[in-house]
Amino acid sequence: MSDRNELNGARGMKDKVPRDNLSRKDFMGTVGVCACLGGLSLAVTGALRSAVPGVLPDPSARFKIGTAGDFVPGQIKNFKEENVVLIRDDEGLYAISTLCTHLGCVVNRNEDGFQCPCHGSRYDHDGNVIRGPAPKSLPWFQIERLPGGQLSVDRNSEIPIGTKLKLDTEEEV
Amino acid sequence: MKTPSMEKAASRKDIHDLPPNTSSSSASSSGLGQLARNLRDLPGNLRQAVLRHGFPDSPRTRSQAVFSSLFLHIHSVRTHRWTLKQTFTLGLGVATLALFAILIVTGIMLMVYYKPTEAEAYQSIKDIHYVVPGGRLLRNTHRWAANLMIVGVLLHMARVFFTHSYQKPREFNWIVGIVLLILTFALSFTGYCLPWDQLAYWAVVIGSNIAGSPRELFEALGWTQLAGIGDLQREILLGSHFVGNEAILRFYWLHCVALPFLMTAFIGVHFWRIRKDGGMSRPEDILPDELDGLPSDKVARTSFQDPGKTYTLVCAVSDGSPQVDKDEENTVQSWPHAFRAELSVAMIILALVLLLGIFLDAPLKVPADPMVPDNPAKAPWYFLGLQEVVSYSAFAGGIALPFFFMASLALIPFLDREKFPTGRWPRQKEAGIIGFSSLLAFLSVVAILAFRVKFGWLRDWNPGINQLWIILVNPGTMLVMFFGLYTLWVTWRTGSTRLGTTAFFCCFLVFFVVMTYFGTVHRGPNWGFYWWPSQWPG
Ligand code: HEM
Ligand code: FES
Repeated sequence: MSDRNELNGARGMKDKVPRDNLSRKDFMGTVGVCACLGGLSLAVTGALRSAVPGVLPDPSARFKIGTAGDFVPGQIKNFKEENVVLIRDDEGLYAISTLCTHLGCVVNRNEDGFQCPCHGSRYDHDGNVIRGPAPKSLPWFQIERLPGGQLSVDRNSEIPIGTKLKLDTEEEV
Repeated sequence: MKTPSMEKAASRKDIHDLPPNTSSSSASSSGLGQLARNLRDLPGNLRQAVLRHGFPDSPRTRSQAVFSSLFLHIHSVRTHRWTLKQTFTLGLGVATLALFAILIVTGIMLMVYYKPTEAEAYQSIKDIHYVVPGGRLLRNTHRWAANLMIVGVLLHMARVFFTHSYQKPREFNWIVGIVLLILTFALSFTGYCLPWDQLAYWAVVIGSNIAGSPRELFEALGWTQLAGIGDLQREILLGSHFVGNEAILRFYWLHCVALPFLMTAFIGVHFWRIRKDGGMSRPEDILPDELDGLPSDKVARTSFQDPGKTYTLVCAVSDGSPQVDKDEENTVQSWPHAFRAELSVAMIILALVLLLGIFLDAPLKVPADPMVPDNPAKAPWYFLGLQEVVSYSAFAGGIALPFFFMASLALIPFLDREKFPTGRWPRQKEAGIIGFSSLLAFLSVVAILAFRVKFGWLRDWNPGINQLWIILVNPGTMLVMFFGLYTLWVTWRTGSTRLGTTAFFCCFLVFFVVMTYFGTVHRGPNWGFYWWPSQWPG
């Protein structure tokens, strides 16, 4: 053992350098190594920041759906590109997201409600989860009235399930 | 017959032979004569300049062939005969390497025609398939080699595990191996996303949302301020909030630049470590008849047994390499024996991949449609086990479980430090544990799958249940818990950590295989259960 240490010679090759007799050279070495590591990690962090997109040119969360007159009770309109389905019943108009809250597949509407093809989540007519891995219900989005009778859906603002927009008959004309 | 001394003389001449007539001032004709002679000698001299040794037909030139070549010198000059036993390695590591090499070559060629944009990706793959001369074979070969590489790397891992080859001093190389396993899966995933067909698009949607699934956990816990971590991961992967051009570019970059680079680097470390760990594992008590039929080296048998000779190349290697310098008389020259074996494996693999490529076309679905996923939207077969556990909970199945399995596999060499006969396949008691554990794991996986299909799970019984319950208690986590307890029980009953880890490893393999099979065969539209795909509605 001892002759191997001699063979290796340099202090650095020994298994342990006793702390108490750190020479000036060792100290400067340690400082140097720390400086290198610090500098490198700063550089790497700086470079990695570029992985996070700075400006996200997202399409607008709002989209127009037409006027109140376009929706008669019992009507269901699927806005496929926006992944929102608009439903008009006797109580009013409401917008439900068709993106599964599990991992984002597009759900299909059927007679029982909504069904996801990817991992079998199921929702009732109002979008409440009833089966499968989905952790949340399908969100309902706010419908806004624009000047001139136009309606638009804002996918950034969720409203409680069951909040329907009342459309009075006057408006429908 | 050339004697060694003649060879020595010949080589001395090579070195000291100055070009004749350099100093003499004879007639101009002799200058031309010189030129003519040089031209005549050109092939030989060129060969000498490149290779620096004669044809590898003597022990010395065969050694030189190994250590004077950048590409071959990763091998030692001599190889232990046990390493050449076909029933030991089964050639699986080399097969995996050959597949990787095929993937690199075909991949680089595919890059010429592939266009990583939303608008052009699909069409460019179609062009490769139908227009580019030889493009179809290129694409098929790339695809089937990728599939086989998954199989190869898993089987190789099983070989290393069952022959006890991860044990000291090979712990680190086992970890490097786990990194290679993860990289192989990552390369496959990023690769099948590139054609931008229905499979690709929805795989990216699902994959990126799995990256975002820590949100599920943090929201269930009520720590909403942390939920953004998942979103950040997702954003980094996609370069956007949506799956589009940025996502294709990032997947392309990962698949063609970052991951192959990492893979190459880690394969380099893997091979370097095999050398530094003293070559491949082998038992200490090899009986002569176990090596019957393998190439042998009579000269080595006598000369290495002669105590007057020492094999000093390895004296610089200090502790940690117990096998260097042992059992030298049972080694043979790597050239030609090891190289011949490796080349054979590589050629068989190449032939297999080419045959598959000629007769089977790589799938390409209809172009990506962000409005309607396929039903069922299935991943490639090797991810269908994952898809099954993800269908219990995105976070538990997509992040927690894979992390748990990879971490526990990586720790195996540190949890089991028993001295078992390395380099040998299991015998007696161990084989019994393997059989029993596999059967038990099989039955438990099948039982829980059948239970869930028949009776549903928490959400079906109580739709309002807190998601935290589902993350914690689902078929995947229950099985993991069961495997863990069973492993502890085996360790306690047998008093052996090796038998304990064997039990765990079998559980993992069976879990992977059964889940994959189940997702492939028995899942249909809306991820419902069907006995056979032929029973799928419409
Ligand atoms: C890209 C993937 C991989 C490649 C190309 C590769 C290649 C190789 C090769 C060529 C060998 C020589 C022995 C043989 O042919 O079996 C080897 C040995 C070894 N591999 Fe891998 N391997 C890969 C992945 C893995 C994985 C996933 C593990 C385990 C987690 C692993 C652990 C080991 C260990 C511990 C050895 C030494 C075995 C011994 O000494 O008997 N490797 N590998
Ligand atoms: S994405 Fe809908 S169930 Fe998984």
